[in-house]
Amino acid sequence: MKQKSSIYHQSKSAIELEHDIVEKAKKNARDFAPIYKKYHAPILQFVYLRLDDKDVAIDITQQVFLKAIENLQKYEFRGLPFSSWLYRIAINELNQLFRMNKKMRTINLNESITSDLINEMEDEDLTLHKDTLAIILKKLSADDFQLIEMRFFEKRPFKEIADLLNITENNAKVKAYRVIQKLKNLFKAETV
Amino acid sequence: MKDAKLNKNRKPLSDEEVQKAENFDDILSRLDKPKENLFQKNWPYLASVLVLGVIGVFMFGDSENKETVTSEKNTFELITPINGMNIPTTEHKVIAGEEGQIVTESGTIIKYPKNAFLDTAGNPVTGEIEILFREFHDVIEIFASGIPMEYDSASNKYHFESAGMFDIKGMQNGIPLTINPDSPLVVELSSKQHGDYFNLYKLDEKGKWNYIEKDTAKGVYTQQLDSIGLAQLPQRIKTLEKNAKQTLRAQKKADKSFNKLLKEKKIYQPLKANNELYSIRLESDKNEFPELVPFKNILFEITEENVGFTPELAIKDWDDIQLKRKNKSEYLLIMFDDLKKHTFIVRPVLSATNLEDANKVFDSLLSSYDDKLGGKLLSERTIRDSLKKVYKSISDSVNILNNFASRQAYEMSEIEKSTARIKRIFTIDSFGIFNSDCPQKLPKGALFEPVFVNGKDRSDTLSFDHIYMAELNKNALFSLYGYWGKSKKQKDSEESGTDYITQEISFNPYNKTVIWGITLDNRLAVIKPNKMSLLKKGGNIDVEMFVSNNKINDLDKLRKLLGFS
Repeated sequence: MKQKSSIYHQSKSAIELEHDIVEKAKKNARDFAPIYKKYHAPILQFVYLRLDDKDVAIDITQQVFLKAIENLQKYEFRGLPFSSWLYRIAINELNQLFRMNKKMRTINLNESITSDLINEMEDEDLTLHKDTLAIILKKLSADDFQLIEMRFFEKRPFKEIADLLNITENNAKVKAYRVIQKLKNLFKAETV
Repeated sequence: MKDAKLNKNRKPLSDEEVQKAENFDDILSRLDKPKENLFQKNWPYLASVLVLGVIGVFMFGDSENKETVTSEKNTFELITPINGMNIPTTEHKVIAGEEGQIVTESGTIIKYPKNAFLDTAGNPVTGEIEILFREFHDVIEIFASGIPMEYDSASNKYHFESAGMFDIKGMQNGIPLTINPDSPLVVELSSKQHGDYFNLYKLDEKGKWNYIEKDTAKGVYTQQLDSIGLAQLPQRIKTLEKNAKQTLRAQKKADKSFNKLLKEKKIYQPLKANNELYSIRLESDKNEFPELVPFKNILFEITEENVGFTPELAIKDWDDIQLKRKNKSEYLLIMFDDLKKHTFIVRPVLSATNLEDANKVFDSLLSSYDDKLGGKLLSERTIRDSLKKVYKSISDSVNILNNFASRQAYEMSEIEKSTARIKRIFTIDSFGIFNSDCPQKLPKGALFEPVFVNGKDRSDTLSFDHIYMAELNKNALFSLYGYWGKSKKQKDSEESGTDYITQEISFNPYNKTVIWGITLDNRLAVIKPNKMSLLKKGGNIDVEMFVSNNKINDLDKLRKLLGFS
């Protein structure tokens, strides 16, 4: 599977530069502007991928940045890009929204994702039943789907997924493998 | 996900749409606005304050075990879970205005510069003052202190794994002092927890932890390494290994180039026979294989890829044997008998006794050819041989350093295990409670929903509104809030029976876990690690606890009771 070129992969100096900006922004929120500029688009696309309402996605994205600035004093630099923290806030905001309205959750599937997932299941028979994938994905739990979404829909590396979900990289790999097995079984049950 | 909506081939937002949505000024303007719905947004905090308040009144009802955290805003009080047990404060008398340091029993150093202390009006203080100091190093001390160990990072809830904590206050004649922000104190907290993954935090007046900075701990271990330059050893080895790899690549390239020249000129380079392979002595045709002519006692070694060769074949009488060229360095040995033909790949080699002479022949052949090639052959060989030497020398250095580093790492880990203490450095410009911690998520792996009962009397249902959990291999105290036990609105009629309230507790079954709590009627109850294995299966179950009916007023007794010693 091709890895998406992600802003998660940044040089040490770029991450440290970002950290300096964050430290300044702790004293004056206006100094947060370069971070907002850098991450607004990826966070908005991240949120929108999980929703079907553009306006709500824009509102949530603003809320993510607002919350980040409000909680900036609590931000701990761990050598990771600042985006990790923003994505975590975004995940929390989205989860709160979905708790209130489960129908807001959206699965945005396309041909390429379908092919990648089917390839990952390593079963050629399944290619004949591509349309079934949508039905199967809806049978996954929210947590399982989130993992698949990050890995196959957004092509995030396991290291980043682990950081976003606050689990170890190895755990992310094991979980992803298990979900794929689960999908495979569901697929077979559905297509028999 | 069954309620989720499904879209196929929906496009992401366009660049224009994203750009249109960008509005940093909107965020800045919203920053200054008061919260629209304070309760909804802050309910976890308000609820925890409420719970703490209830515990204080319900369990203890007196003020002995309450302690004010700051002198400015008395909005948060520490409540020690066991009545009458707390971590004592040590009073250190120092002269304000002068520079000095305090060294505590554990080895913690508090350094104060000149004019470090101010009175409440902000004026420098002189004369004798008291520094009140206490430190907390393990789960038991942290538990006994009542200091909250939960941390909220942008709505992510964590529990602290601690590398050490302290509480510091300054007083003069009973009046609280402050620290001069221009002359901060430096506290070098003695810590037994190793690792560089901790951060420094301060407890605020609302009972919430605030991140200060990354912990820059320096320990005996690190300092010793630094003093003899060993801390840079891994980097040095890495650089050398990189050099070795580059040299090996260059050497292989030179080798290839030299061998190519040999093959082009059909010069045989003598090879030593492999003792583990079979060799056959043959007279080869001088016209067909002129490259072998200069060498005496040539053997033909059956190469490794000949899987069908057996020792019997070597001593058999053959009707005919032929030798054919396979490629520039290998030949085909074809042996015939009445029934069939056997073909094996062979290469010319020399036994150890003949090798020296062969090499001399080879050298003289090289020299004669080299003249024709304008010195190219010998120069390629010199480059190759010198690279070989460089590679060997770098590899030797890497091996020596690796052995040295492994030995050092082993010795240091032994020191670390036994005596080493790390100093965790805090620069503080205010009094209060500080810690060096790492946020952790609740342990996971097994879930159970308990009704806690007294192990000695199962009819004695235990009620808690706060459960503590710790893993013996980790210095983290996990606090679980909620309610477990008989319903507060208990139904006494036989028909309806007793109502129990419970909620799930998760733990890691692979770690040694201890769970305990103070019951609502003020008894300490505990499940030790050996009993935790019974809870792996999970579900809604009655869980027996060991209940201590004795008054516990000693930390060591508490440690023993909870299985920490």
